[in-house]
Amino acid sequence: MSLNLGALATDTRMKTIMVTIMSFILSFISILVLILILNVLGNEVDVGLVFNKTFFEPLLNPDMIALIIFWTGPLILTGLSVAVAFKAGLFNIGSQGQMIVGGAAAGIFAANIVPSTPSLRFLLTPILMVPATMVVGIIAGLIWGGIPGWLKAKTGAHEVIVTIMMNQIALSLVRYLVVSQSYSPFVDKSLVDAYGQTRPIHSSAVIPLINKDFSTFLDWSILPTILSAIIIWFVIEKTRYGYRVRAVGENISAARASGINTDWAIISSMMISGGLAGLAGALQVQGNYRKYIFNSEGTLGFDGIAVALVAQNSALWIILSALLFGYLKQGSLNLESNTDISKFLIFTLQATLIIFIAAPLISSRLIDLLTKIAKPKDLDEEYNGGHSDPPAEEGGADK
Amino acid sequence: MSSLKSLLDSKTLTKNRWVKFILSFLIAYEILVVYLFVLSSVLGLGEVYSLYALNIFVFREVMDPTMLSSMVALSVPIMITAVGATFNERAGVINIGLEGIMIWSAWFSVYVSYLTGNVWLATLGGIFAGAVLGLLHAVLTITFKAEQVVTGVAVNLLALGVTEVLNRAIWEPARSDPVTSFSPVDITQIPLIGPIYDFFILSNYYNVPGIGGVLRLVPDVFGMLNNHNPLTYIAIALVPACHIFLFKTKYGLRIRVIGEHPQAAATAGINVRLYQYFAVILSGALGGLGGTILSIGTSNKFISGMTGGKGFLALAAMIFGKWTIIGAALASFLFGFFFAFGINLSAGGIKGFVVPIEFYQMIPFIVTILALAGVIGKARAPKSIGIPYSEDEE
Repeated sequence: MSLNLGALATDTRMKTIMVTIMSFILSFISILVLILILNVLGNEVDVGLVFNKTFFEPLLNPDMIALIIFWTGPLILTGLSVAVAFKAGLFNIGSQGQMIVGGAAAGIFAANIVPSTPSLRFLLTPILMVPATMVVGIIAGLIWGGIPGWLKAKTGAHEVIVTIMMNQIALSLVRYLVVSQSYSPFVDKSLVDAYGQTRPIHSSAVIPLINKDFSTFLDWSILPTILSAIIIWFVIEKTRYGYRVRAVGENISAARASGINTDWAIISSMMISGGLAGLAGALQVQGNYRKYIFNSEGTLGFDGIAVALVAQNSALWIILSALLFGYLKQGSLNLESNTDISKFLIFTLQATLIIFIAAPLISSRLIDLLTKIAKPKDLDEEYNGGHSDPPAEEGGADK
Repeated sequence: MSSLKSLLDSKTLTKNRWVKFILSFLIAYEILVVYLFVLSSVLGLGEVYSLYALNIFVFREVMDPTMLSSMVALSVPIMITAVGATFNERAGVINIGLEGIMIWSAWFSVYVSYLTGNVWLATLGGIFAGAVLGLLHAVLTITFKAEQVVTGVAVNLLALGVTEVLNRAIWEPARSDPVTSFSPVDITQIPLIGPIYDFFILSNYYNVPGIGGVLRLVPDVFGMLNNHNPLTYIAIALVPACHIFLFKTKYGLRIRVIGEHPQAAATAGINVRLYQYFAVILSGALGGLGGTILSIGTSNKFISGMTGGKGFLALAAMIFGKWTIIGAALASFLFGFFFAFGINLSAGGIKGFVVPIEFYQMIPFIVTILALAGVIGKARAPKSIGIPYSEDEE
């Protein structure tokens, strides 16, 4: 019951890029169809307006460019989180839960535990407190990711099901911790809000802004984020440990036969994966919100799946891919605040993009079809010789 | 904990399955009481009762007719979706997209009801909507051999996104206007059957001296099944039908063989893809019914996030029920029980006793993880699950 990564891979690098581009085109067509449906239902939706609000306006406004970078940060981390697990042949859809737990732990640690514990007071200087809060977030996410990893390695429990369950448990647990005014131990009692939040975190844990004049919310949390991407790239691609993880992801029985400790590779990669998502949660608390707010993650954890898939799980490409999805996210928010169209339109685009990338056979068949039309007949035979599909259902993409 | 199972299996105790069932029920009950006892002592909220007192109080709550009735209401949408999930998993296809199927058909049935004002057409619409998403999942996983888990997640996201976009376009964000919906059926009002049914409702006799106290110790089965919407009864009636179909007919056997060894099934002349398509679409349709029960069955509008993880719970129930129809249905009732029980207790069921509702809500997910890890019995998935079928693989 391990992840069938073969279905995600395609023949050559060129083909992979072509499939990704094709997936984008197909997703855009799907969105156009959805807009068409909206029009049929009686909403007069102007495609030009949608495109302008979503794709052009965010690029022209410096505030929005700052927001794009702001969204990119957590997307890089959740994308990395999904990608590291993918490298080990695991599908971690628990990034959402790990991010929630990491954020809540960081918030509670910096807002309640340290200020109220005399023996921990020594931490209250920025030099110690900023990294300590990050580490708390990482550890919380690491535990939340480690449990599914451990269960996968030791009992074979499917990590996807377990991480789904862990997401739900995380929601319940954090809701208990910060949401209810009547019994939550860490809720901000001074606010009688509809949704729960912790008290503001101690000022020493706050990550400072890069430049007040440029933007009032863009902070230095982008630095540890980029650093994590580089570290993960180095660890996965250049170290012996990363080689082992990739070997487990490619063929677990071959890896086991060659003496790799597969259990440890699975557990540790899930722990790293969870830790990255936890860091994403912690940085949101320390940067923008300066407290933990329940549900402030939105769908950032799930967005990581699309980020990782588009970047083909390569840590450095994830930075660009996250930038793209940050741009789309900001575009969707701009769309929602300026028109009657839901921001979920772009969420839908992301979903269809995942579908087309996870089913490369659709795009590659389409590419084959298009090349067949475009090329003269004799050349066509040669071009398709390597992996031409028999008339039956078989495709060249599954290895 | 795994010794619990071996204790029950060992020869020192009986081999009678009913005795075993009652024993495991008692053990589960005791674990629940101890869980609540520990939580109430550790959290320090409200009154801390002794373990002995808690045993009695909790038992009274477990047999509370109102709680049991809301248990049925909460379980049935999960149950019918879990039954559907059993079909596609037995046919070797994972469907993580059930949550999306539920939310999408919950919305779509509200929309059809809004357009036509007819609840039965709306139900058909909901089932159809679920089947369409099931078809999409089938096309992706069976024809295009996509990675099933990833597309399942994508189906969830897609359904969520499309639902929100359409809802926003027709009504305002996050909720719909009230529409025509089902009203509960009072069986006791039906001529002929009604009085007979009424005779068996135990809560009628709670005030009778002598037997009343004894009757409170038994679950009021007839009482808890009364006063639900018509779809609930349809869903409950579908469970034995699905069980017979999957486990007693040759078509069901074929589906199960495909899940274990599709190549062998193909050798025997079975059209593997046809059966897989059928199972996945059926699963979508049943999930659609589940979503419909959630929206126009028990409420009169769509609220975003109204499924609240019920599709994932259905997946969990299917696993906890060890990939059988009856098991999935029973597991759904168990999960529904924890929700109803949590609502009941956090509303002050036991005087002064406070355990936040979140701790009840996480129980189903914890027990599913334990079941997957093999602590509570061993759950085994069909062998070829998650692997796209192709003829040339051995």
